[in-house]
Amino acid sequence: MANVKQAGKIKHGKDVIALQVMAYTFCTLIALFCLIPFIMVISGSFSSEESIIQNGFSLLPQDFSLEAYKTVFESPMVVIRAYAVTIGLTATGTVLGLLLQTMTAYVLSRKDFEWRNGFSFFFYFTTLFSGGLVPTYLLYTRTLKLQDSYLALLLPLLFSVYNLLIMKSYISAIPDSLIDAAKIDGCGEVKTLFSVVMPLIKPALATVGLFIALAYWNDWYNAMLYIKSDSKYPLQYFLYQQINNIEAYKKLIANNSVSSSVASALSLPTQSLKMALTIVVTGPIILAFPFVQKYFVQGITIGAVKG
Amino acid sequence: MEKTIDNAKKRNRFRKFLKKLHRYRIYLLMLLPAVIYTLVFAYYPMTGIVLAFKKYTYAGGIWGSAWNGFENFKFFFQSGQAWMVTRNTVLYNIAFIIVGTVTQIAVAVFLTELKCRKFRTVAQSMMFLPYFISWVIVGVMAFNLLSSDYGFVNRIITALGGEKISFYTKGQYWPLILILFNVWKGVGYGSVMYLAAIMGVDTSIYESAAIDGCNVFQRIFKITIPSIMPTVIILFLMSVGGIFKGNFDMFYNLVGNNGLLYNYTDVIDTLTMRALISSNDFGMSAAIGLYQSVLCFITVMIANKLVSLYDKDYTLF
Amino acid sequence: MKRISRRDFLRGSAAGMAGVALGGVFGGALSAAASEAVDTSEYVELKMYLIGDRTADFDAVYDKINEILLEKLNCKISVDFLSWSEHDTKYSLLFASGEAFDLIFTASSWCHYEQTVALGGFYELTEEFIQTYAPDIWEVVPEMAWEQAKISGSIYMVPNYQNEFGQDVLAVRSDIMEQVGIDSITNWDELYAFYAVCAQNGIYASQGGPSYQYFQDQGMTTTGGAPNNGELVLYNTQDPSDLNFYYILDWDGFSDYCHQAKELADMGAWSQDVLSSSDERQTGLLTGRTAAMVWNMGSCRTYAKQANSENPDWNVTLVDPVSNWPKQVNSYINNGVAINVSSEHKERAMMVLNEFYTNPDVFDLAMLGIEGVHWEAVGDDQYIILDESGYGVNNNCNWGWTNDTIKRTEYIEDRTELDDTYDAMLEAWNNNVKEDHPYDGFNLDTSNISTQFAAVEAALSTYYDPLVNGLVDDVDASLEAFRSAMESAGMQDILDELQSQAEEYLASL
Repeated sequence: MANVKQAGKIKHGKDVIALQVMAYTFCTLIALFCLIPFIMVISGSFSSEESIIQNGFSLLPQDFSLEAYKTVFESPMVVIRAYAVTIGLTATGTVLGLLLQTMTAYVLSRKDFEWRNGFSFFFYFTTLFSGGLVPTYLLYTRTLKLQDSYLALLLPLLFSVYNLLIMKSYISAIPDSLIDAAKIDGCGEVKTLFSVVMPLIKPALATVGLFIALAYWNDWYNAMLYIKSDSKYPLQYFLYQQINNIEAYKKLIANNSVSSSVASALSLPTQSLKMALTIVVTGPIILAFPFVQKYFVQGITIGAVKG
Repeated sequence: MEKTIDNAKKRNRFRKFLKKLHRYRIYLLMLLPAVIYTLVFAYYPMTGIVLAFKKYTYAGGIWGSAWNGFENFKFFFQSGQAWMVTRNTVLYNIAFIIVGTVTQIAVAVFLTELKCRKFRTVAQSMMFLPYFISWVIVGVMAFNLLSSDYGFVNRIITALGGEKISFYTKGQYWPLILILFNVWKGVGYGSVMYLAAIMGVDTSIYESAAIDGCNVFQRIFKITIPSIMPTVIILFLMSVGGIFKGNFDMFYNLVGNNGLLYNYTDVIDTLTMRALISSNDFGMSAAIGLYQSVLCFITVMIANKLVSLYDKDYTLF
Repeated sequence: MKRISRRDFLRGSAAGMAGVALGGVFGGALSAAASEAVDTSEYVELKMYLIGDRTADFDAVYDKINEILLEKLNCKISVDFLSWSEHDTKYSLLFASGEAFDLIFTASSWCHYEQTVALGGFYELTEEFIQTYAPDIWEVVPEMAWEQAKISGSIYMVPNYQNEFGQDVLAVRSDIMEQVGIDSITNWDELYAFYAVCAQNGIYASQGGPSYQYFQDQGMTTTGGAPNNGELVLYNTQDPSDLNFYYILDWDGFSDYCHQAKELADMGAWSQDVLSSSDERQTGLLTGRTAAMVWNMGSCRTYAKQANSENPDWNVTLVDPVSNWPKQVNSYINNGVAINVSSEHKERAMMVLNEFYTNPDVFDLAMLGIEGVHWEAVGDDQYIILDESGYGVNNNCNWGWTNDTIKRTEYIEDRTELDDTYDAMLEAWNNNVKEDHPYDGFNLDTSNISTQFAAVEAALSTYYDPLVNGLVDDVDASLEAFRSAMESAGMQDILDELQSQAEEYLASL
């Protein structure tokens, strides 16, 4: 990169300036394009219900109001419960998923394991052909009887062949001599994996871990199929349900409200409430995002360079 | 005589196998969880495709229901839905791949050119934001933008003196809307791949180009872009394999059950789900699923062949 | 047993009401006898699915019900809900999952009855089974109701017993009617004029096209078991001698309606977002976005009251947009309860249903909540609301076992104009019940044509909802596209099957 800059310095012609103008304009436009929908949800959540009904959504809060957030926090338990479900699932799923994927990838990348190609194909074939929605649904519910159980949310995302492939390519890049040396020192396979291999593939663990965590955090589909009790809804499905059933949510708030100020469900906002709920659900991702993004970019970048 | 030799050979082979089994016991033990998982959750459901040829009843389940030949496929194809959803799925994927790739490359190129580091980081972060949120949230945002009663877009249109557009009744706008949302969600993540490729370019080439009197645009088109072409082609070919897979998450959350838009927005995956949950047609749903699986299988094979022709290192198997 | 027509029953219902207390006592005695006859020594826990959302005091109410069930039938029941927004999705998945629950709410057309029967999800209720385990239900439910519940000769649900009117009314804001200069809405032309003038004044009239009001204005009603909740095939219910079915695409009225709906939609009589909106039927009226809401008389009164209490100046009232016709009583299978084919305690489930249906204590609990907390008795057959916030009256999906012979009516202390309008309308309707049409008790069995049926259902939504809400660009082109989509999905097979089943049915009468 430094050299590119130097190259620029050598010749500071019109073309360089033109390019800079284009680059800044383009990047600004794309960045705004990405940001505007977020801003709109935020401003909607701080607008009064009347102003939204009269004027629609806007970029800046109109008739600034905290009514919608107050409403959400009138009955905070339901949101907190959904958070607890999602956090629990994401943590468990990420740890177990990483463990499973690393362990499998390690074995499949061992060159002294003659059957590794056979097993690789055994896993890979499942991405070529699948039973589809109906048989999978019947497996989870009829055969395994997992409907309305947290396992039905945990299991579908636990293992993915794509993550396995990423892991495998990282572990394959570790020089054999390192692993052999560990074995000569008397390490068993498991100890080699944990004390030699794992520290060497930290970026991969971070990247794949983030992939898995994000999949769990954003999952609503499995909840739609398998979960019935509202107490087990994960965050995204909770949001999906309340947005599509906002009157019921308002009734629930009116009945459970912590303060007695809520006279009836009718007096509660609708559109701005949806926005506030969306923000409450999205919030932590946005806060954790700068940190997460850094790791993500690093992980993908290293992966891409390595090929 | 021969038989005994044969038997001896067999016994020998079996003994060898046992020996290996013993030697690999730790490896096999480590593989066991993933193997069980894959058998149960990937291979076992494959047997369920027989449902595509059965008339499903609740009491019978997969195995107890009666066969009905190709009945489940008949209406899927006769009604023209097969053609419509296949067409939509393929066209959307092609558009997503092309528009997505072009934007991502452009973003990557321009980002590397930005002189101000801080601006670059901030811009990149903003572009990355959509990648992290769920499609449920995107669905909410879309309604904010497009609703004819409250929508921001219509607000702008009317402020500029135009007529409101009722997006949720006009299917013809949806290809554009869906493509924009797809670009929106993927641009930050996708461009990172190309950024990495650009950074991998040997910088001495840039210097000699500058000395040769190339202007910056020539540099971009003659050096930067050709040198990331391998990455572009590999990523492109890999995405071709998934051309018959519709992104259910996206289509379902943006379009929902709005029948008016189906002609423009229905993809194989949304139809499979609708056949299951709104018309309770388990057989047809399984049939569509099988149809899709077969198409995917063929395209992945073709894509993989193309990748191997291009560069053996990147083949998947 | 002598066939009793709905009309006769309705006329007799006043007498039935007078005998409420007697019926209650009698019912209790009978069921006690039944439980002695059947072995209930093994304690079981049953599970029931209802539609809607769990209210705050629901569990407390059902604890009380369980006390009674435990003592009488040595069992308890737990209830799970499928919410309004997801029952379409999860009803069929529930059966597919093979879960061994016992009872479930169902209804013809709007709550999956025919579809679930076609896929073998419900347990067949033989006369003997009903008489053995639910003798009191057998006493109460009229033969006509069982007849309606029959699909290819077999019964799969216990229909509710109430004479509920099948026609919707409008709850409409008088202030807006005044403002736009409309003083009555009694037929289609006036309804159209009202919608149009609302639109011209920049107010949404309602939340979508009034297709049912048009159909009813033409004397038409939906055919039981036909696609799209029966809306695809109509029959002339006001003329018992007309035994034709009117497939809407072959009926000029439908095309006529679609054109008018488009005119209204273009004027802005309802939001262009209706197809993507998740609003409930009352949302528009309650939030002040629409001038009116369309629903059955009871719901309209409930929400009209609610709207008036928050906005007295609105003065919401009820109007009948189809007042020129005699009234149709809803089919009894418009609400009901079925037993799951995978239930492990079918007999006990039926006995429990018998309690819900005919034991006044259980019935009152399920409908009104806990006496002294939620309501108070006024005499033997009326109630007064104390506090509706924790357990909405008649609003906890207890409709499946509604039983007019023991159902209490509300005693209203401070009568409003709205109550008078409601009572007057109800009385007028009760005195103006239409003649029975042979098809009123007919129900299409779709098991022979389930593939075509599913294909039609899947293809429908692209055309039907947009057309009836006037949202298409070109009505005629869209009707043509609709027709050809229906043809290729196999609509003709369905029509043929319908015709032959109807002939059989008529012959059997």
